[in-house]
Amino acid sequence: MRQIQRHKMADVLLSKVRKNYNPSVLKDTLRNINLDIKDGDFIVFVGPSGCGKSTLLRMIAGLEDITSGDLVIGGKRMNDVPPSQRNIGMVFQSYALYPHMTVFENMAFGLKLKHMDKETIRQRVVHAADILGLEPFLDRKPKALSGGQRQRVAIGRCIVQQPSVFLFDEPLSNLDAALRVRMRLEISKLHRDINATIIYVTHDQVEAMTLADKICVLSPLQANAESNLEQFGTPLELYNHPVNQFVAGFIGSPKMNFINGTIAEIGDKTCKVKLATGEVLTACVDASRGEVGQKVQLGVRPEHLVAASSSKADGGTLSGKVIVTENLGAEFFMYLDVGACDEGVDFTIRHDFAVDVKSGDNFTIGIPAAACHLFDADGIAFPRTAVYTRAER
Amino acid sequence: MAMVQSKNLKYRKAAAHLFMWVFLAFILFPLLMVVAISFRQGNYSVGDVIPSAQTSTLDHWKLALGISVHDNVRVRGADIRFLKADDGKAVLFASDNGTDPFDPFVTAPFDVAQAKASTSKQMLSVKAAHPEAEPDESQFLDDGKTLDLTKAVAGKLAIDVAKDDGSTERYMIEANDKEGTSFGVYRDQVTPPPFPVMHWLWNSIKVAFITAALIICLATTSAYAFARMRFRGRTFILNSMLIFQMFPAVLALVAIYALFNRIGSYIPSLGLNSHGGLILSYLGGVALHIWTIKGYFETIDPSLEQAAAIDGATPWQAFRLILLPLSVPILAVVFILAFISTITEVPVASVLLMDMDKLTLAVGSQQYLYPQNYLWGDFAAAAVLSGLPITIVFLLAQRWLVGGLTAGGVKG
Repeated sequence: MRQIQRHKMADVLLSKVRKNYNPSVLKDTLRNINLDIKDGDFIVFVGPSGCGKSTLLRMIAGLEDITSGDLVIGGKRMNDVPPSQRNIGMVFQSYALYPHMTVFENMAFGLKLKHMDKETIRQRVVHAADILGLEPFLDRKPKALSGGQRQRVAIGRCIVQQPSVFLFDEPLSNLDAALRVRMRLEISKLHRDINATIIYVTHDQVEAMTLADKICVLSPLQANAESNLEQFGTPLELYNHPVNQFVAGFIGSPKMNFINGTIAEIGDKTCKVKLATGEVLTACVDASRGEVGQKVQLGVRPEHLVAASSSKADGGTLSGKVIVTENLGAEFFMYLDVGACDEGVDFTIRHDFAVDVKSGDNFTIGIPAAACHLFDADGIAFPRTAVYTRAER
Repeated sequence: MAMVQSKNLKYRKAAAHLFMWVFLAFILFPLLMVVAISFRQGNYSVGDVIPSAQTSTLDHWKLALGISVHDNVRVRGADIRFLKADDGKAVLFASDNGTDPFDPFVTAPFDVAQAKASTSKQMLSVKAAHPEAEPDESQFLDDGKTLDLTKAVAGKLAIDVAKDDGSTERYMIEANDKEGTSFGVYRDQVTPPPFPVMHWLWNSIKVAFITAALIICLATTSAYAFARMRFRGRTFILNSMLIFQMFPAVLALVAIYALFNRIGSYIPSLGLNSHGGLILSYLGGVALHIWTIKGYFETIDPSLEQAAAIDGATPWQAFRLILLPLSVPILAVVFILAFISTITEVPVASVLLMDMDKLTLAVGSQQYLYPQNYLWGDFAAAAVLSGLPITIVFLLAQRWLVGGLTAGGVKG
């Protein structure tokens, strides 16, 4: 039976958390991080490398100290509590199994240090091994295990401690692609079964979108930025309503296309944008705080583009020269040079079927107005008035 | 490794093998020389490299192992004569024949049949004393009977002559040549071991073992701090340790002497002429070992100890239960290195140690070599002996020199 007793309530609250590795240099790694994580939530920290997501996780674990701000777990301020007393469990990117101990000893190590009686230790370890399917391997050393099994041992080592918060530091990044998909599902199931708070760090936004109840997007801290917490919300919130250009570009694969232009006309629920190439596109956004002539970037996801002749192409059309095409069978990518993007950035199109074009051909693509995002010069998004769903097509 | 190789490469491989064998032979040659010298009769540094049965002797080894060596030395100034005695008995008189100074002695009467029944292994012990005066010529047996009796007892009598000071000296009757045409008086010359070599060896082992163990304790804990903790002056201390280690300890002999002289006036067991002081001075060589172990610790993923910390381990527990078991190979290496360097160290030990019974083997064995008399044979035996503990330690430590201890713990 895949069942585990309910853990005690563990809300995690971060307020105004700041991290500075070298206080003599005024260069923060993290600044003004405010997160309210509810008990039982699956939270994913995501961001490009160097954004401090692992640091934030390690601060919650107690492996890094908190420069300023408060960390509260289960209603208790944990800033100065050593890792072992925070009631957390952590799975490291490198698994960090003890190589000289068997799987059983690896999982029992923490319990032994707590001087639990042998029978309880055995019960807990066997129970965790049962959940993770590790029973046949209890007597093996980690070197005799495959990558996925090692990962499970690392998770099992957490489970036996019955922590109220699980911390995962890029746990799947060392696995091969097929195993990653499987382990992703297993972690998802595990969360459903043990129903504990999980905080999960990854740079892979597919993991983030599939696993998370809520995603926290972090960016590398700019010199005078207020915070590097960009957005905290559910996966679809982030996908449909990114608050800024960074989140819009980070969430979604392939990356959202950004086209330079200026506001040509501000309507009631729409806004017309004149591109650098002269074309005019319509976007379903509330641009009332903007003004005509203001420089903006129009964003549209590659998977939301439609054929130029389609009735959905109510936002306008865009044409450019095909640079490269990629046929993956299930999907088809095309990279265009449309002239209105930033230098060196191609306009990506994702189709469900192959289109008969060659490199160098001219190609015109239709853009639905509801699929458009609009960002001002500072990258802040204008509120969208419609959400485009592909099912409508 | 079944790579296809060109002919050219095969020749080069053969040449490399040849070179290695020649190189090995060059390395082994001095050792073979020393072994050969230790078995050679006399104390000669030149001679056959491969000892033959006739010219070999175990005397050097006996002396090194603390066993007295017996030599039968012919007493040229003595003649064998017999005094007239009762039936079946004989009285031997060793007289001065005038060539070399010799104090004559006369034995107690002994049973000839009993003497004949004895063997050279189990000689008949006979007491003897220096007579007050030379017996009259008429009391002696004639030459024919003397020769018969001599033949009968040759090699079978152990004559203990009581000396004036109460001690005894042992004499024997032996044939002068193999055929047994002439006989002479031989004195059993006892050579006691000149130096307490086994005691030195024990001193060496004791000092080296304690030093190596203490170096392991100090070096692992310091290396852990240097590898895992960030503190002010870390790099500076590390670098300065390395730089100071580059100056040989010999340069500081005077300072070491003065230092330990002063320490000894407060703590005698750590001062001059004490093994404690010597060990303390050897602990100064810990820096290189810290570097070695630190390098190994840094190859071990720190996430192992962080995982242990989350599991509830104190830093000491993480060090002892996680890091140390994984570091056994490097600890074995450091132990061997520290042991070897201590056992072969001469300059500091020769300055700090003075008493004959305190010396280490490396220092003590040099006592065999003084300008008037180079006792190469005895020295060689002691030298070979000093290699023994190193070999044993290496063989014992070898089982810990295993690779792949950290395999599987972290994704490589």
